[in-house]
Amino acid sequence: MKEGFIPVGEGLPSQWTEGDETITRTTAWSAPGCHNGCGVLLHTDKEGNLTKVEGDPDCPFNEGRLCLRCLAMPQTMNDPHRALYPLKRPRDQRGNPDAWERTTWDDAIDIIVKNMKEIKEKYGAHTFMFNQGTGRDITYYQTYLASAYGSANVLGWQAGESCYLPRISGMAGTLGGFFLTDYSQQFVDRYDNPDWVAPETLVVWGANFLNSNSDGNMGYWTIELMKRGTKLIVIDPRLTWLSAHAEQRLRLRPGTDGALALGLCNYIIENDLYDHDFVDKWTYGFDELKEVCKPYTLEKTAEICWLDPDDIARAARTIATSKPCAMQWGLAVDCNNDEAVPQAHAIQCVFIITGQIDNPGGNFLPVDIQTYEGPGFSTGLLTEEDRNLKIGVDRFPMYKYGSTAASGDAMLECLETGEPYQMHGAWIQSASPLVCCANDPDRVYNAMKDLDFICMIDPYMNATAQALADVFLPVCMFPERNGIALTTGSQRAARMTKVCEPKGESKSDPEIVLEVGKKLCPEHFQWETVEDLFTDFIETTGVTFEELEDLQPIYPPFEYYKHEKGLLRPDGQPGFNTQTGRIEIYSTMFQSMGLDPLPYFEEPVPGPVSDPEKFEKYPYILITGTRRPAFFHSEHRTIPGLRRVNPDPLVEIHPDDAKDLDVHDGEWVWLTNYQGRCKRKVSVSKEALKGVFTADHAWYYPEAGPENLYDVRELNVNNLIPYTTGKSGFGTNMKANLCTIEKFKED
Amino acid sequence: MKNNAFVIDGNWCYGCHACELACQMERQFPSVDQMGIQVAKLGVWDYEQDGEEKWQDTFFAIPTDQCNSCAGTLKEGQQPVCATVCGAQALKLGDYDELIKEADTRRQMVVRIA
Repeated sequence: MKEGFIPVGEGLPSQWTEGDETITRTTAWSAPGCHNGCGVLLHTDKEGNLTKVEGDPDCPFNEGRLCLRCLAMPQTMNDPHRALYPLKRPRDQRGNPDAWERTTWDDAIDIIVKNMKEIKEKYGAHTFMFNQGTGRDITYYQTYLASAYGSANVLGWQAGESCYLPRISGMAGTLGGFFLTDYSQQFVDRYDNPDWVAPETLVVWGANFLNSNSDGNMGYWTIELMKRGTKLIVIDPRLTWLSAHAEQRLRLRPGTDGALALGLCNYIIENDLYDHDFVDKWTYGFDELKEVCKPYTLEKTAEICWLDPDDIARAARTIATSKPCAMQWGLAVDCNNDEAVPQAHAIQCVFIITGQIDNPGGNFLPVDIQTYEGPGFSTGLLTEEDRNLKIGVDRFPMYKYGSTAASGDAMLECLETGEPYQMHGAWIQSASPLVCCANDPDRVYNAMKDLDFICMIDPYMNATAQALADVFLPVCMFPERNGIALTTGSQRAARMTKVCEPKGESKSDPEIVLEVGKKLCPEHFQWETVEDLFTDFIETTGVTFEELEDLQPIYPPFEYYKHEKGLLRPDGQPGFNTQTGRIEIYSTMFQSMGLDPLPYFEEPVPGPVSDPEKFEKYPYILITGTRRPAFFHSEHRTIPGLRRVNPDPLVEIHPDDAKDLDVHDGEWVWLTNYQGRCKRKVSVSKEALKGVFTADHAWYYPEAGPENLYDVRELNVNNLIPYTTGKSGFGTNMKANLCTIEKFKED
Repeated sequence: MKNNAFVIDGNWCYGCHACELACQMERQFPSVDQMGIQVAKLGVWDYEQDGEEKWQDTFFAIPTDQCNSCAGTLKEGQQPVCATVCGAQALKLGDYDELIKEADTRRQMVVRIA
């Protein structure tokens, strides 16, 4: 093991028996999807069935706690809806559930490899795309396969790659890295670590992580902080448990977060509350920031954001005077305004000018075991020519330098127009874009449906596979396979250990990638087994996959104030990993790409200000993607114990709006706008801000059957969301659109 | 130790339902509509107190008639799985007379189960 790494599992048993049961100390991750990878104790009986899941009290990440989705794993393992066998279907039978024919793995892989080779030879590897879903164990492996095959066209299908990437890619331009909220998650001794202090204030910005456990952040950590005296400021239009228990809540108009951030900066600067020392020593472009935020007076900001000027001033004072002050942002920042990158940039500035970066209890710079974004293990095999052929790089330079992904927006146009080239095939793995992440799913379906070849790899026969795939490969659940969980956020090397035989013929995502890779481009897949691949994958730890069993999880060494110690730059000099060595409030990277180097706010489109005509017809703002505790995106609808908790797709409406519209709690309605509609059950609640509806995402009814595509076309809220992005090509508007309600009647 | 009561802490319970699933996994009820502990919600509404806006948005995980305090399955000092998995650590099984001394805020309740 490399120096400085800390093996949490050293001295702890990795497996033992109690009566008739075997208990294995391991890690829970994918499938099903999740952003965290908790330490678990898996109980199995003599027949090898999973009988019970407990949180591992020795795992610092979750300290024995678990969310309900892990606790439902015994049900999930036995879910009769699981896909268990490879299937194939003639291309002209796409959408016909009766045309599937069961086949062998060898046959299915041969069909895939034959088609991929043919497409590569005839048209080039770049005409074959790879799609992946979030929070699954595929990011690195699938991207590696794409790279080995020679295609840089890897994407998630959400417009503007608006899931963390506007924030991550944006921070590459300002910080030359990225920061995380300091909950002590980087330490094995957590809250007791002598270097750590609890934040005095935690600003929760557009996140409801008690339900979502998003991006490597266990929601309960905030409860631990609150028990240690941390006060909350919650910036969210919707009333959440967090905001109900906050010191201060700012229920702003959706999509105006950028204006609020500039208003906070302006107040902090005008009242001389910023950190002079940090700004002088470590930032570049402060004077320019001062100018761009000057128009955002309290009054103007309050008017834009539907807030009280005094509340903004109070929040600004609290943020600036709290030492330390941490900030946890969420997906709203990426997808409530097409201009998400400058919005995220503005929010960063609030915490940069108050000196809350790289400090204990503030916002720390994590240590990676594998690079989260950009070149590295996954994309190292791509040639410069391959990269230049990535869809979107000519229009959006940030896709060339700031992200491994191709642009969904440019890909959609490419599919529709055949420009700059014709696409021919797709590999869709552990993703269901037509159900979950794609804006305007009908448009994406129509763009994809005529591709020469589509294969789909998933734990379930989902609506995307049913509508589009020619070959289907089944993915197993995490207790049925080996693996490595680095997951999102502050990385640690945690091991997933197989404790059950896979149901049917299902296999893990990395196994499938390896088996296909060995036949498709064997020169790049020299690993004998998937375990050999895992060892290479965690090479930076100096530990093999086998050794990891007794040591896991392993934490990398961590320090604060890395910028002062010369630990962030390749040249070893103090400073940040940017061109100027400072945090670039004025981003030379954005400037070099022809983008505005400074943060700015633009009105969300469409909206009451940007499109008054549309607003008159659709006078309610629509937030989509309300997180519910029982589900990870489109998953878990078939698990009885979880479906009980969240049985139906909801739209939350304020009581005053419900009265105006004459709709009642529990009533079914059409949520409708200028683009489309979806069916929803009304929940009348003051959790919704007046004038703003909040709706769940990724709904379908598995019980409706494959012939109706599980009713996804009727239930998908993205029917109302156009495919749009910002000037950088990152960001979209899924959380500040316009809509109204119509009484439901069957057509 | 008599495990005849739970302290349930409405200060920190945020209604994640993990305790319900944990109990169902442990007890194997005939239906997912049955459980030994169930999350109840108070609210949501706002009110004014000392000139400030306050919100009632509170959860309590309440043992049902079918809670058997995992009697016979717990080792000495061990808490039931509903309590160990709780993110907020808002549940604690123990002796009523001891627990009643601990529950000292308005949103903490001690519920007898035997």
